[in-house]
Amino acid sequence: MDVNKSKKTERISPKEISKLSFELLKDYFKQFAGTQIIAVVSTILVWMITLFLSGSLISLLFAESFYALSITLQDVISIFLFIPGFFVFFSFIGSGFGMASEILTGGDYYVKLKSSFYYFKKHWLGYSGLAIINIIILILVDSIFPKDIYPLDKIFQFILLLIIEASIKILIFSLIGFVPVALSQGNSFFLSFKNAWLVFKGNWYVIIKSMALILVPVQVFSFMYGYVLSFFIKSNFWWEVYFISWIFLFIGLFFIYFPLIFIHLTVLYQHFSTVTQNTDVVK
Amino acid sequence: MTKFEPESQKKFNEPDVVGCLFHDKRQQILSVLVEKEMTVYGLKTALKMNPGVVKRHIDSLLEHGLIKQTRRDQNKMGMTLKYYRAVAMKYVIFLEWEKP
Repeated sequence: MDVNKSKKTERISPKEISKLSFELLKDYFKQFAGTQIIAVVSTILVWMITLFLSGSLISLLFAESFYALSITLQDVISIFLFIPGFFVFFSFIGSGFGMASEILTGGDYYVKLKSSFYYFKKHWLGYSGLAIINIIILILVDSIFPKDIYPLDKIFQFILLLIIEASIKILIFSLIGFVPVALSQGNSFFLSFKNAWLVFKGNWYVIIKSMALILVPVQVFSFMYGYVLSFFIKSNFWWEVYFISWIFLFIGLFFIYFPLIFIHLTVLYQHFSTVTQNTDVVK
Repeated sequence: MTKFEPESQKKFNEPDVVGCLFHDKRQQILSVLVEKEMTVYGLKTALKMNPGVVKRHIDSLLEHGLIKQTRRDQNKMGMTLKYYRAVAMKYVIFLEWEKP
């Protein structure tokens, strides 16, 4: 048994963790991409249903006077109409964490696409709540570092600010990203925050380094592609090509990069919660 | 926990078990599990098979009593893994026809 114990407390390198994350994505790409497709399709369906039902309700309540309402009230009503769709979207997206956890903790290194429905049903509120928290934090970070106010003659300051912004984002992703993993593994909503913090606190250096390995190359590429390249495009034709290529890039990010992040965070959490399981993490 | 040791030989005559054995991939999996205990993750790496395919055949072999789950452990990555082993070192198919 001593052999097992020493094996469990051994820390593995960020490179090994990344390798496993890529292997998992390769083996279960269909299941993860399928979940992303389900998220998109079901969100569109929910929006269609809510808009259809609310259309009838609005015409019943306000008749022709809906457009006579104040813009703010119209906005509030519209936002409320979109909320159920967003909940469905974030819940299905979040179920990617549950699927990755199932592969790592189920014992058979296996997950079915239909598991996404199970995690959706079980944790929809938690996943949606966490997504909203994440979005609020990211909007706050973005509003602190608005990109359009930096003049080009201060390019070095601009790059420095970008690096600071990226570092803050990596920190947030590393910290908050563990919460849905802990939630998927059966912890309560608040206990998930506690466990995520305990795992992060004990291994923050390796975790940030591992997250940076996955996040930085794509962030740098997106920045170069989205910002720097746009200065060199002169003709309309190349603008169109550029726009279309962005769509493909976005599809790639959505179906490959997002699941990779979910898997990577799950692998990191699983490994480091095992490393620290003899101390603090409540299982 | 005592280590599971497979029997030296086991006879099978149930048609569904015999049918289960006559499958190329299941035979490949069994040939590994006769030698040593292994996980679905280990088998997919060793046999270069899709893990879903390995899992499906493992389930079938388990259902027909041709293999057994020996233990459950965590590897250094923190991954929980179930280990499987063949129930016998040799599988003998025994068919008998009664005279009409």
